[in-house]
Amino acid sequence: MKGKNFLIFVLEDDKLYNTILHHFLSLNPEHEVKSFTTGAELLKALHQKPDFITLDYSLPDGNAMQLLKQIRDVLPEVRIVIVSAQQDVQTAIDLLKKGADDYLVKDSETQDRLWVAIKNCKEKISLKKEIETLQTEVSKKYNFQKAIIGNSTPMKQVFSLIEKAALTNITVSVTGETGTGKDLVAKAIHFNSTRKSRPFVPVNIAAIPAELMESELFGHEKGSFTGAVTQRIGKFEEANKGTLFLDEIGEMDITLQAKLLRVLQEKEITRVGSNKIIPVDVRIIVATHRNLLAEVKKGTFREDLYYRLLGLNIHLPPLRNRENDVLLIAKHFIEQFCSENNLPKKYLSLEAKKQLLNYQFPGNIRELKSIIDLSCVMSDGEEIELAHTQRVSATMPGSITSLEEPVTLRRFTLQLLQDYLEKYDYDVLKVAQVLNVGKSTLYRLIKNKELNVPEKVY
Amino acid sequence: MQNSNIMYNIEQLYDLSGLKEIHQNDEAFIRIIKEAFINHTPADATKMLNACSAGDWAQVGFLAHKLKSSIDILKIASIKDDIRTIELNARQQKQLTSLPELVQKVNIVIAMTAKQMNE
Repeated sequence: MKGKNFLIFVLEDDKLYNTILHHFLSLNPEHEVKSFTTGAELLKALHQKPDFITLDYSLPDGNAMQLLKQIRDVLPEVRIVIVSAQQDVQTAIDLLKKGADDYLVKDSETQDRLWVAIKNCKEKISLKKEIETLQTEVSKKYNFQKAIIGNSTPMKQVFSLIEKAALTNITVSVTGETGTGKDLVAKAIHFNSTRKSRPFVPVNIAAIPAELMESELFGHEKGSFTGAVTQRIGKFEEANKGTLFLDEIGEMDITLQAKLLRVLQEKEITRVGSNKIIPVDVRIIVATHRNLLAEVKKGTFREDLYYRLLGLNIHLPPLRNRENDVLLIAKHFIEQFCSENNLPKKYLSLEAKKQLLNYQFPGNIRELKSIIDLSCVMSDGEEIELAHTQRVSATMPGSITSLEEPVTLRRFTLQLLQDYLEKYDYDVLKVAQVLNVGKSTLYRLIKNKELNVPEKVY
Repeated sequence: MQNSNIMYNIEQLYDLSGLKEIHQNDEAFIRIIKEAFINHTPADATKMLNACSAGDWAQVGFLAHKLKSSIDILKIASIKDDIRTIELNARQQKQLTSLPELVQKVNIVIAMTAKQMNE
């Protein structure tokens, strides 16, 4: 089998035609061709897992119709092409319906068409292997023991819960302050679950206007509303058999909450403008930085939906409570940044480490990443000195320099956003990009008058 | 079961030009094809003749179907239509009285083709 990587089975009881097919298909040195004259012989050899099978329709021990099912039961993915002198169109249609990939009539062009069928099959296999490789890479990326860095006691508890969540389809609610990595936890659960080869579909509820959310989640039919010029499937259908990650679920409009609850209970959706019920099999993971129970008490979040979504709660601790994790994560970010930017390896000085350990990180890991990236850029040598981190903190409004002042997280965050808005001349999109926050979050805060901007901006 | 009314073309009964073209005049392959024909096809034709004598029309239809592609590949033009008629009529069990003569013709032409190939 040296040098050969494409196994072809030829089932043809006519010795002459069998010889021709065998010879023709063996012309490519990558092919290993095995010939059979009865269906029973071929079935016995299926454990060799051929990539491609040609079947004659009429066989001494049955016909291709019966054999197709038996082959498909063992090898559902194998490419099967019927090569037959049988020219009855209905027979061909029936065989294609039963799972044959192609039907070729024996004539002067059969061999050319067979060659094309094999070429297509190889391309399909190559694409499949590429997808599998990519899926493996993604799974490795979200192998939570590697993707989520941490050795602290609170994080060990988080890992234990992620492991439990990945084993079942239970709804998971991920809570924690902004920047603690809730999306990373959602991905880690999905890519370590049995659904990992199916889609992971994230939806940021805060980033989508309320009036578009129903269509976004459930899809719409053409003409169902102004602007619905084509039919569109929603996120639930997109995530079918996979995982739907509803980020910032606390921002969902109360009227849509009732529809979401119904979908979660019935496991079926109806597109906007349609009466057709579409069953969906979706695993739900939600995240919020809000205290949903408090929202329930305020009447802005439905109690029944709250209990439906609560499922397994994974609360991510803020970085300041994660003991020495900050240094492990900082080291990872330094390596990542240097690698991505072709910089020589760098490391934190003792003083810099001490400062990071003492810092409160109101923006959590997102803030740490920002500090580290800038520190790497600012430092000239291998060592990231204290001066560099001080310089970094000095350029970050309300940051390390104000640690001694007792401030609430919300006040700190608002101050940070306000300073950046002023720094970038109230360019909301720029600030959203620099601070890695949703622009809709900024617009909401501006709308609520929690951030001050000149009239012309908003 | 010989029938003196059947006339046979005594010129070469087969044409390998198409096969040679596809397989780029691969002499070794053409030899293998000839051997495969000589070793298997006349035997199948004889089986069809026996099945016809026994009135086993399903088997006649099956063997005619099997022989059809060999006849097409080797371009044995004199029986190209006959083998299709045999297959169709045997499967549908119609005009059965005409089948023995056609089956015999096919049997003889295939035997003669094999003989020509051997020469």
